[in-house]
Amino acid sequence: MRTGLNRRECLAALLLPMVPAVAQEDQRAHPRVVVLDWGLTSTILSLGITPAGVAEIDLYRRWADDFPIPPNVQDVGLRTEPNLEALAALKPDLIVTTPFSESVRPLLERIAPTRSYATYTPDGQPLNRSMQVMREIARDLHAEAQAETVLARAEDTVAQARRSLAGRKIRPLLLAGFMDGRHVRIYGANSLFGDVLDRLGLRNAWDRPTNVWGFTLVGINELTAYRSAQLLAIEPIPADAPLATSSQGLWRSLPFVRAGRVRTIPRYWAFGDVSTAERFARNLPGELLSEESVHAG
Amino acid sequence: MQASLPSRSVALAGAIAAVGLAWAVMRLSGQLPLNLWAQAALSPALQDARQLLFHYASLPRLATALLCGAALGLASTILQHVLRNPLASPTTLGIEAGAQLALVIATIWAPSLFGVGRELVAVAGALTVTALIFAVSSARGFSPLTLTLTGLVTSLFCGSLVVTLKLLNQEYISSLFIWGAGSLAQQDWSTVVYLLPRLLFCILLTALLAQPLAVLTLSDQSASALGVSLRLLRALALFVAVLLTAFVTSSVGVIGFIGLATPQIARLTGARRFQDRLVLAPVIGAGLLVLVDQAVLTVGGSFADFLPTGAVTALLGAPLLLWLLPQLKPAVGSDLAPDFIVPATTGRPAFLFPLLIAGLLAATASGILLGRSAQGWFVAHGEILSAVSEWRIPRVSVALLAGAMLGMAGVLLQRLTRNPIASPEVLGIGTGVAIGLLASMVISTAPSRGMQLATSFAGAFLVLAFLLWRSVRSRIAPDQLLLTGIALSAFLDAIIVSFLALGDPRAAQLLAWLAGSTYRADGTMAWMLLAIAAPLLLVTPLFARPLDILPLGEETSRELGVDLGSTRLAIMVLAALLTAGSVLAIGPLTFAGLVGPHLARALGLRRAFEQLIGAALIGATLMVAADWLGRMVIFPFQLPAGLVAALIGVPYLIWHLMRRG
Repeated sequence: MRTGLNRRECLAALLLPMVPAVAQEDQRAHPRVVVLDWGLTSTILSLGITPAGVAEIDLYRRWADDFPIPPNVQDVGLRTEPNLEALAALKPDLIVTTPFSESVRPLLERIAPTRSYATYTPDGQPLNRSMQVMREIARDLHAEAQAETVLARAEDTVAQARRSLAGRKIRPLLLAGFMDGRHVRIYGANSLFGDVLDRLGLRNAWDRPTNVWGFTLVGINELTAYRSAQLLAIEPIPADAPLATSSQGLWRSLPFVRAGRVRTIPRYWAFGDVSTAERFARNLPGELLSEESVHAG
Repeated sequence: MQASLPSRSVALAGAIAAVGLAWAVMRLSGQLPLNLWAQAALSPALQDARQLLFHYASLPRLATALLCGAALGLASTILQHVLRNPLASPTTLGIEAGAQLALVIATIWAPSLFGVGRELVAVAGALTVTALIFAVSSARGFSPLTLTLTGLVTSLFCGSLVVTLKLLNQEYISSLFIWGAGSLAQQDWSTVVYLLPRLLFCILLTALLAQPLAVLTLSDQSASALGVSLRLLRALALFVAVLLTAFVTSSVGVIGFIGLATPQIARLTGARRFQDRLVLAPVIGAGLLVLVDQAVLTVGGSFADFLPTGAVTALLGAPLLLWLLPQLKPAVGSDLAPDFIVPATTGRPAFLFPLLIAGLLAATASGILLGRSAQGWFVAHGEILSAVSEWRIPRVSVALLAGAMLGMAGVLLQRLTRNPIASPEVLGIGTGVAIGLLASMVISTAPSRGMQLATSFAGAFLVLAFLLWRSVRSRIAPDQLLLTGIALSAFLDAIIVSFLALGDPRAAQLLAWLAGSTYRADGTMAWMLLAIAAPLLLVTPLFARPLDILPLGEETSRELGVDLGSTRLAIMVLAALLTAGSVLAIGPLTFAGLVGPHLARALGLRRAFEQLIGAALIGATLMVAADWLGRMVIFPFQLPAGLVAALIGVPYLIWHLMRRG
């Protein structure tokens, strides 16, 4: 594991100076692209490409928001059912989506070539898949050099975060999204967050099955078994979540709640991409180590 | 009163409650040794996870199940008695749907309200809906028909609004579905502390009202003669039932069928007097819910949340009702027929058919020509027209054909069952298709269109086959067929709700289809639908004569030489095919099938032939207009046509019901 990272760091170091040279040759125009998935929207924006259209822009800003979407980008409606007339009017060269849209694909293909990229698959390694997807998209959009820069930076961030956490005693983590007063989504090993924990050398406390998207929905009572864990609650926190109220029930009796090992972390789109993972990896050491210092004092 | 309780009912109620509690004790003793129970119940040791779970999760959950079951049993007993309607329940009257709508609105636009109380929001919603239903049906002297109709229709309306809001705010879907599905999971005593005093208060009120209410079994005239102010009494009793429902649904969500089933069980085991049922139904309800909940916990294990108890009560309650149905005397249809099938008094306006056809043409033309883009409104012509017509013509054609099919199917079903509430969705065919689609999503992460089509058809076919088998066995008693359909719908809905509650991102896709969208329509689908629709639409009017005769009753029909068995079977197959075809194309929200026939009748089309043609034209116009509105109103977002049709149709129907009062 250690050597692998070293190799990656070396690779990153080698690649970085080459970037301007590569970028020089990549002056071909990017194709006009419309994106129907928020994770892929982040991927394309991170490549420095502005799509002609994105689905559900307002909600992207509220829930994902890895990158600002320029105001001239057009909203093409729902992710599941984009407005075909609006889409066709944009005259895209390429429509980028996920296998999730398979059933509307015949319609999309009539407007423009449609490519679907799978990040969340049964093999359960969304971060790896997302990196691969970024390379594939970059190839289709003529932004290979930019992709390598982004990926190298992400690897770099992860390596740095891993270094800053090395040697620290961090408890196994529960990554939770609160749904209401009694239920949480817990993100497992096959989630994007789970992958990042893995790379940072941290342990995901959740050891039970999750779905293809890497999470499972459980009642708060299912958390009693995780005595030594620390819980990271991902924003937004609903107003009736026990975290936000003064409820005196089971939540207050959970070992990690009594010991104060609960921390709220900012919003991350759980079905995001490399950039989401990078931001998560960059912020995590700060969250965890400040936590550590609070409890040491 | 106690002394005269029927022994069979008491024995059954006691047995259900005893088995439920024994099961709970058995399961809990596996979790925590008996000798620790007292300590865990009173002051659990904080280091012992088992004691914590016992104190904060298991015990409150058991208590919540008991309280909710009792409250729903009581509420339904009151509702069914006061409204003299064996189908009355919080679900069928739309009270739960009202509470749910209020909660969804609050979740999206005023989440901070939940800090104050999810409960208050739901109570407000439930009360608003009940007030509306109350107003409508009081204008019509509380006829059971009007009430059930208004309830179902309002329920549908709230449901449609909820779906619309969820579609546009998909990230909230998961939490809304957990609540909607009725999860009994607890993590403190707050629900119990909330419910207990409120339930006791309602029981006290009921006890005070019990004697005067019992008089309601007499006819209105003789009860009035006894000096009971009927209106006030009914209003008070309804209010108590609404409070009970709102308290339960606001704290744990929708627990279907316990309410509907409990008074029936009490009645069938011999509790004929209202006072007896008032005592027994809550006990049966509490026992049943505990029983179901223990089953969920045992089977579901640590993933019991995947299977919300409310969804399971419907899973178990629906077959129970199916089994009980033949023992019920058909009390519903009998008073409906004269009210709705007897022709309206207005005559048919001249030029009605030309007007209807012109309306359809106008809707079709604007559906194809008038549109919006990012730059604003435009009337398509020339090159733009040929560009947009690629998308619009298939959608408009599919909406038109499906609307026409639904209009005719509605006429068939309403005349066949002599029941104005009969409509395609009530028969559960749409839900069968939904289950088929769901199956394709379970089989494959990204199901192809061919697979979706195949599994959808299989689903529709299975439901249809079940309905046919059922009706042949019970000699096609119309009311029972309808109730079978409702029970089946609830059963299948429960499966769907459980799936949606998992928070699977694919839920959004299913939801879009459930809302009734023409989105996926293309040329192939339009031609396919035309091939299915054309022969059906041509054959159906041939049944005009039996359709005119059937509503007159069995004896008259026989005297007039109608072979009841084969005619009914043929009409049923026809209705099912019409429905299945349109549902496959535009989803299970088939409101055009309810509105089309009603509007046709209101316009004076009394004979079956006229009504069929009129309903087809109106259904088609409604769907085409709804499709167009759905594409325009929130451009570039789109609302499914079925949903818009419901949003247009329901207020019309309610207004219509009130006006006729």
